Amino acid sequence: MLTTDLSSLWLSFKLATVTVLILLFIGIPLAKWLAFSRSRFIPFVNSIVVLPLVLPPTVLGFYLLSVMRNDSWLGSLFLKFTDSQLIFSFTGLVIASVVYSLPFVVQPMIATFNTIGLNTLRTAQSIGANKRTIFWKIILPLSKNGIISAAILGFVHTLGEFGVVLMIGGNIPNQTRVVSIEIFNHVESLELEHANHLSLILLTLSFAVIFWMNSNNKNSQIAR
Amino acid sequence: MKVAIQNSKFNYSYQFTTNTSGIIGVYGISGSGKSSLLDALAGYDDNMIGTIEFNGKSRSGITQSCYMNQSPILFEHWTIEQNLNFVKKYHNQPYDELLKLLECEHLLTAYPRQLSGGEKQRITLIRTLVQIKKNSLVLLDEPFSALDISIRKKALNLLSQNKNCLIFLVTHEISELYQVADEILYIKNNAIALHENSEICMASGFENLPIASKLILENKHHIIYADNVSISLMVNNKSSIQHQLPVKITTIKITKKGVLLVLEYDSKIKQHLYAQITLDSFNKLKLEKTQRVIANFKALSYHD
Repeated sequence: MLTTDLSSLWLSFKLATVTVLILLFIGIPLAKWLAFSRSRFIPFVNSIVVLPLVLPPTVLGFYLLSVMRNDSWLGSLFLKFTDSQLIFSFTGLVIASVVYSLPFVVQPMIATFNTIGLNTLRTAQSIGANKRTIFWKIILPLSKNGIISAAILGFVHTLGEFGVVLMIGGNIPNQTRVVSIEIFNHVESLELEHANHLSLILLTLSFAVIFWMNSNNKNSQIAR
Repeated sequence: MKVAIQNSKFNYSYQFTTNTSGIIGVYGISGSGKSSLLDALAGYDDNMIGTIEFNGKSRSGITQSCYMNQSPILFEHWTIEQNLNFVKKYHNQPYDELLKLLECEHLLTAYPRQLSGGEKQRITLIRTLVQIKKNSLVLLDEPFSALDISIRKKALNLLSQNKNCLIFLVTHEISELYQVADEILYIKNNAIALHENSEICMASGFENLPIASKLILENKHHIIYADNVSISLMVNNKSSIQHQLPVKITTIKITKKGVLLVLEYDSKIKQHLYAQITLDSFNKLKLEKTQRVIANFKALSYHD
């Protein structure tokens, strides 16, 4: 395997790991709010969260590009504090991936939280538990499997991301050239064997993860 | 407790004032709004407007109450012991006695998903009873629906021992309400159709409430339904009859069902007993006011 292939694989794994960690940090409270709150803003916020699921990656990429450009407020702020531009950087890629993979992490979490049910939380509350106890002792343990599944789904989805990365990150080796872009490069240069190696790694990994998730879900259903 | 609440979404409107302690029986056909009343009292109803005043304080949002849902809710990731310890942590009351009494000791190491409906109900009942303190608000929505008769009796006894708190008890078993309730709220179409103390309710014959009386015989408390009492002019020797009491007719009332008699039983204290008989047998026996007759019945006994 070529060293460029290895570095693109490493970059993809790094991107997916960072993205998933950020998504867990944002996603759990967001999904909890979406699942349990009675706010009238829920449908609106939920629609925004789901949007990346239906938008073409190029459209999403285009808007992210507009927001992160050097002359935009976010881009200029980043430039001012870090002395480097946000687009075509790893940080820019992480932000884009977080937005792009958000529904893949938040939606399964909402589904998991919904299975806990509002009455379970109310019961804990009427017993006397405070919100922090309810979250750490009841919500998190009860939704452990669902959260792990959501994180894995977010991870594989980020690994396979192409369109948005191309729009935001471009094609810079070691910085933004992730594995899916490397595959594209190989195919364009007719290096089909190399393309096949990388594709096979992604295919095997994705299948293994989804297979594990499915059998895990089945086991937990039987246990119930 | 003083309640004046309504909800336009569920279309209910409840206004009533109860004593600050005792058992309030909530009765009505399914879908009449019993559970939504309990939800509102527990603070679960976000769309409710109005006020609930309890012990001089106005309640809003989910405040601490001992609420037992219609479908038992246990924390699925914990064993029964962990579930009960969670409550013990907040209320610091032992549960071992209750566990023994309701025959649940063997369930401690099990997970909720391994339990049957009745077992789950017993555990949630124990959890609710452990929470009860002086001046607690206790809300029980069909708490005994999946229990065997013997356990049901024990649970009912446990409940009636809590004299210092206010208990709302929803049940379809009218005999249970007659046994333990101090007041009865009859709910119909999401509103209070009747609210009286239980003795008056028992005599009212309102809607489908069976007419009954409470009687103490040989130191045992009994509920006697008017339908189950027959009248004879003298003592007869049928073995199926459990009780034959000499009584005096004090009131005669012609009803849709026949004739309702109010009978006075004079042992050490004067007690009243109702009998619902057909017009035919009333005419055949030629009954009159102040006449002395024999009341025959089988009694449903319970301990107070």
